[in-house]
Amino acid sequence: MECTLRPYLPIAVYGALVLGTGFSLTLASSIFGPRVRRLEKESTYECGSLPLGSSRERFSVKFYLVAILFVLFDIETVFLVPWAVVYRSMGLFGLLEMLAFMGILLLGFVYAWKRGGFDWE
Amino acid sequence: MDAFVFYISGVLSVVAAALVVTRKNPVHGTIYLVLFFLLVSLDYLILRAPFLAIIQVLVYAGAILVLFLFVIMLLNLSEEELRESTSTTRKGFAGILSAGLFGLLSWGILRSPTVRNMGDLAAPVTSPTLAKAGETEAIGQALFTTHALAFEFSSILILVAILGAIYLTKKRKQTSSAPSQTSLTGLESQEEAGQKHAPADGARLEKRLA
Amino acid sequence: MTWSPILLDVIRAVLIFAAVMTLVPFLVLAERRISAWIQNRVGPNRVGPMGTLQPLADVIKLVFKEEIVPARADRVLYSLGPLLSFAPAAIAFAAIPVGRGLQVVDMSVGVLFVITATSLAVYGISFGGWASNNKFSLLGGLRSSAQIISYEIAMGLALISVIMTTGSVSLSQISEGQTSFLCWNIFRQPIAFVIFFTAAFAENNRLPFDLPECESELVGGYHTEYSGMKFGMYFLAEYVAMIVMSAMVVTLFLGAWSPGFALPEGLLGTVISVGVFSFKLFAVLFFYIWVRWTLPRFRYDQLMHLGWKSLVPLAMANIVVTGIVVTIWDAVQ
Repeated sequence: MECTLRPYLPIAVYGALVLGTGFSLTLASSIFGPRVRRLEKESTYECGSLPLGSSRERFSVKFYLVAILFVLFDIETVFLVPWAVVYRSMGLFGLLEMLAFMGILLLGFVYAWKRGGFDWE
Repeated sequence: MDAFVFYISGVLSVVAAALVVTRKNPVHGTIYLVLFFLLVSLDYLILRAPFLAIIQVLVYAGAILVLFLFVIMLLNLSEEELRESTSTTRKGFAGILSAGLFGLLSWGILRSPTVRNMGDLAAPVTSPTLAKAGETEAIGQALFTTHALAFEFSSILILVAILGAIYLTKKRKQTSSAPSQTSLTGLESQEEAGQKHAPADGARLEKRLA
Repeated sequence: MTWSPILLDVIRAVLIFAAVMTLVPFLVLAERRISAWIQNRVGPNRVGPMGTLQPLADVIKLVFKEEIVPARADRVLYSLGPLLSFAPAAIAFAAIPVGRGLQVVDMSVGVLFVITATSLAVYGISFGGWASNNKFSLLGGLRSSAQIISYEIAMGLALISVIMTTGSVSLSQISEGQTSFLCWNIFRQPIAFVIFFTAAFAENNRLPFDLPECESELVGGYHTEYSGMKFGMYFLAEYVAMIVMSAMVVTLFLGAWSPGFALPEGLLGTVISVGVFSFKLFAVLFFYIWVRWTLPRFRYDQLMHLGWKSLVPLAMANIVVTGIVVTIWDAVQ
């Protein structure tokens, strides 16, 4: 029988093993461990002092900037993968194509650098 | 066998997608979205496109969704804020809009000549070129010869996105009346840095946690 | 459809998984013994001969510990966090050839598979941090995620130059391309090796980049509120991810399973190749541990600057130089 997914069967087996182990380990302590509930024990841990404020606070926009720059450069990397595989068969044209692509992105990189996009104050 | 896997993953991905939109807590929605992307990548595998399958997970689940998660956590809504319900009119409007979009897309897909002339998809692939069409080499060949222009334009798209992101998140530094004097600019930027720190001392302390 | 190839596939998958899971406790023990040796201490030496049963004792202890779930935690996500951290790290190993022709599945996109699986580990860390409902956990999780994604760019770009020299994204083909000693990618792409290895430390949250859990600022980082075996799983995930990254360093740069010369055909060659691979893997893992107990921790801004302002431009320049050199070389030939 023709089956496209046949080569990936071992990874399904492997994945099932990983998930099986993961689930049983996750449950292990709650099955075998004791359980004595105390209010103090279950309160938020802040080095022994009483918890201050809520943990659902908004935080710095810096993380957002890192994430968006990551997405953009990740896409660049993904574009480079098929190029890296075939560029030798295309000679100079292939190289110039990539230099143009990288050149344009380099503009963005330099702009981000100059405007302090990579600074973490 | 392929068809069997496809139907299961198809049903599961629809369920996962439905759960994404119905969850009140956006962080829970994110989990189902990850699951959804994994199931869709399985569809690419069935279609003999391993490169696209892996890119689907790498870019969508591994990058774009991380950005979503950061935005969700950036706003970090408390449970009280999440409980506020949206009005029924708004829900109805969204429902009609998505039903319309669904109809339009289905109509377009079913009518498209590519879909009609596809023939028997379950038939074994005989031509070696077609069997390799989803591999990285084939995609590279197509992308950097036939679609070279589109590829170059995509870099401009990414450039614009970088500029936009930086413009929105980084405040423009005030330009002085005498921008040519380099010795002064060094001093100015130091002064600016001092100003930036000074006014928001209280807020700064909270921010430092982040 | 015959059953024997399927059975063989299943046996191979089970064996490789078992090997990785057995390696973890010994790695933990090795780390403790080596750190003790470096710091001129004794280290664990009571349980079993030379302390060899110490990891087993630790696991038993963790399993029988009480599990404290914070009252205000998001229970489902709290339980899912460790699993989401462990599963991607372990699955990543499936694409790595541990010997000649010996891997769980020979994927045509093996390099990308490992990178993708590693990048999904961000979810385990950030969900765990968020679900604990503790600000230190949340901040630890976010810092960790931001660190991992920042270094992923440098790592991806370093990989591109490796793919450029080997012309393949399949890990088995990359391994076979390094059979003779001088073809090892460490000699052909030394800069990419340095970038990749540095980024690997950051991806695994290991010292000198272990900021997500730097005790002095964030208590325990994203796993502050975890106890019992759930904490154990984060620990496990960290070591599995370390094994995966070391295996990637060996496969991509250090000649994979090749001893530097041609191996004999047949079973003997395969057995030797597994031995060579394991030896190289242990050497890299030793280096990991050595670095951890030698270097001090970076500051968070230094970490971000190193990633974005040094490694990323260096990796880009490396790609351009590689491209130009190879194109000129091809033109001359």
